[in-house]
Amino acid sequence: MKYPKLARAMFAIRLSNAFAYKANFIAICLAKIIGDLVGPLVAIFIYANTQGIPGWSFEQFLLFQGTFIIIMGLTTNIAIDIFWNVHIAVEFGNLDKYLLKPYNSWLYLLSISVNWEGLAEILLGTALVTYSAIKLNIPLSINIFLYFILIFTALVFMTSIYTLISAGSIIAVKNEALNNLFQRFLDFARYPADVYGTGVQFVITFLFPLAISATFPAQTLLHGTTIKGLATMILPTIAFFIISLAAWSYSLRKYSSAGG
Amino acid sequence: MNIIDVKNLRKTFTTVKRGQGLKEAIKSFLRPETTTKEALNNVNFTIKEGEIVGLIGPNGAGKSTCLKILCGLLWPDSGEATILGMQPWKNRVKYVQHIGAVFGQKTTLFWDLPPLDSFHLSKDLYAIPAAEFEERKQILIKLLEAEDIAKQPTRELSLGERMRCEVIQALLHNPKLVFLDEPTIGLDLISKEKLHEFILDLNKKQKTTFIITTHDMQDIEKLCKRIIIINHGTIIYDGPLEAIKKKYFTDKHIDITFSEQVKTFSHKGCKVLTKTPYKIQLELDTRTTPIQTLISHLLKQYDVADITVSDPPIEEIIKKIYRE
Amino acid sequence: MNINAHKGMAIMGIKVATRYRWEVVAAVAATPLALVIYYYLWKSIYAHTGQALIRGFTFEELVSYYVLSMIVGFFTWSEMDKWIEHDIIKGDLVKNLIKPFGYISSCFSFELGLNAYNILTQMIPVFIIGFLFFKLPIAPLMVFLGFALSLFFAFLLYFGLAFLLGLAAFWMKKITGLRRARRIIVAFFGGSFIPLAFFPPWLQEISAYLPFQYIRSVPILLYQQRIAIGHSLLAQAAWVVVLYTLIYIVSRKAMRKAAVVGL
Repeated sequence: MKYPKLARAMFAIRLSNAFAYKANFIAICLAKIIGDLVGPLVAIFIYANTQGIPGWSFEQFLLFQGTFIIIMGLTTNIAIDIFWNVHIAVEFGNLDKYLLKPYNSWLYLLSISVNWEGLAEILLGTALVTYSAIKLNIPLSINIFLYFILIFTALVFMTSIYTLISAGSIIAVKNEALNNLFQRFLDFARYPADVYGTGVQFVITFLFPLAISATFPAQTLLHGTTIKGLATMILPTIAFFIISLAAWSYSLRKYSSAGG
Repeated sequence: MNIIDVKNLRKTFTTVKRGQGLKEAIKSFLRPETTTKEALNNVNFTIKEGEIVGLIGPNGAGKSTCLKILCGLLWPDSGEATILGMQPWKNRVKYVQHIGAVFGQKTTLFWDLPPLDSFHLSKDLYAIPAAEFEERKQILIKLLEAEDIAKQPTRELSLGERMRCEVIQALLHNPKLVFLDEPTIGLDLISKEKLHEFILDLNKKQKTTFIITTHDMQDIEKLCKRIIIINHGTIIYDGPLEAIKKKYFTDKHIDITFSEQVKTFSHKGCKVLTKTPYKIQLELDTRTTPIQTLISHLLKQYDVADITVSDPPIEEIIKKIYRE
Repeated sequence: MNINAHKGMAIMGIKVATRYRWEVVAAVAATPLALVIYYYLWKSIYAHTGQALIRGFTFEELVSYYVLSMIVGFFTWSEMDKWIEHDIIKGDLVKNLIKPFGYISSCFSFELGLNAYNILTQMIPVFIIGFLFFKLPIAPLMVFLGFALSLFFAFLLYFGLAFLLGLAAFWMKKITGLRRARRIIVAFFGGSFIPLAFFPPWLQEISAYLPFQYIRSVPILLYQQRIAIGHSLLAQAAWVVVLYTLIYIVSRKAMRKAAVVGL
């Protein structure tokens, strides 16, 4: 279990170093919370002025927003720095340092890319979900268990995405273009998948399973699902995960044969 | 016992040309031009345990490529290398556990963390027992005088300070074989000497093998008994430093400043490189005229303000070797 | 600084911008995406609500609001605070800051050059996409000129704000958090996520006293001819004066601070 141990050590180091700039630490937490409050605030404004999004009551939409924020927080803590570490290494022509370690490069990268900056988000998202779940009287059932499974699946999806972007930035695009492009795509996940047309829905369910980050977990918690439904939600992500790992090892192979 | 055995190594690169200016930028956007370059062309050598070998050559000669292949970071196009009984690029994960590497200009420390944190991560990375790690860390930090600098974030360190930390980082897991790429670049005289002593000490006590690339003649003379000279991807010399020193390091550059105007100057074994009324630069062949002879001649005949004797740059020596 | 130096800095900015060719391609490719999201979101909301007019916007007008919001967003952009933070950590800022307005104007030219490039590669494509696919109305020439001037003022404001924030690095050293907050607060109070008309009255009241709406909302509404041109430009100009006076005061304080800590 050397990788979790490494991740824990790295987490402690990162946190203790963040405390060295206390004002910045607080500012980062606040900025994260402010950024995450935009979604719920816009939701409040929309529901105050209109009948809202069809199929989603105000509390249900709040629960959706909270779920999205939790997933974003987890992504910040686990996955985002995979890309930034690779990006900076590529920019400084320094990717070698990851290959000089006696580890599987992807697991090593995953272990050292832990971050604490999502903690505030996870708390805020949990508070939102809890508040709306109580308001909505969501009963204790298997759905809550499935909700957690699907949030974990979403995290796997986000990790795959950042792995894929990292691989891309090694092979061809040595800058932030791919990441920026993905951030725009990610905006699709900010609203329930059923507001979009069927074409878009198909894409974000099967081809690029963005709907796993928020829509699927929230829907499952609210309305439950079937085995078939569960497979539709989880299998595309697993496929995506496998593809991203293949892309990663391909990119390293290409890097090691092309030189930096 | 051979610790490194390299056979017929070849490597070519394809790169995209990038020009200067707005017009070129647009051009490279539309149609990037590529060029291929032969970085290594049939390289062979062996290195024994406990040697310190200098790998030298002009910029772009293939030194870094060679080093990267030996570290397992690059796949060669063809050829073989057996190092510590392994093929570096094929068994990378297992292999790199046993080597240390410092790439001069590129940091392996975490940029925004103090080196001390990176060191402690190494403990987990290489599964070094706590007691052994502490002891080794203390020894290395003391030897390289890094007590205070190891506590500041890496990005705030000067090049020399950082380099000392890089060396510590590379040696914490007690590797049998260490690659140093330009380890003394940008170092002040004192740091440089410290590093020299340290390398020699480690080599003597632990029989650690070092492969060093450098542009610095002092590094070579201080550290290496054997040198490999590489140019245009091929080895043009592999052997004891002494032999090549006798043959090619016979020239010295001598800069003289006079207190009077000197119109002409000539002496046996001397070639005038540059000349102004008060300053003159000579290239002296010490085989025909010893330095002492020339200097006493100068002091007797002229009113000399200053004399500096230096080694010609490595590029010139290579040029000479190449000519023969 | 003479005009040639400014030109040099601006060309530098353009060159820096061209270096990131893939980012440009990605940005242009991605712009319709955000519009698609807003299009579907509001389409379903308007259908569900069953009103033609919500808060004074028809569906088409709201969509073109978002098109314009994107166009304005491309031009009102600056990472000045990042450069200042970077310079402070590297330790070579003071020599630049000795003459606060010399430094600021050279940075300004640089960022203006960068944004000029953005006009070509991002703004114009989005305008065309807007005209073709999202029923963006073509404004009369006068309005168009007013819009362009208003955009310039908006850029001045955003740039000034980023510069002011950058000066905070003299006290905090690292300002990663502030920089992120800057981006979100400007977008939120500027009305990039949702028009200010949707805000509750008390929040509208507050944002009336903040400069952010003059960076994003005002140019958009001006193009849509919802607000008077002269009045808006005047208000923007007043904020420019306030902001740059503030910069002048704070940068002097920052210089004193720098002298004390010896950056």
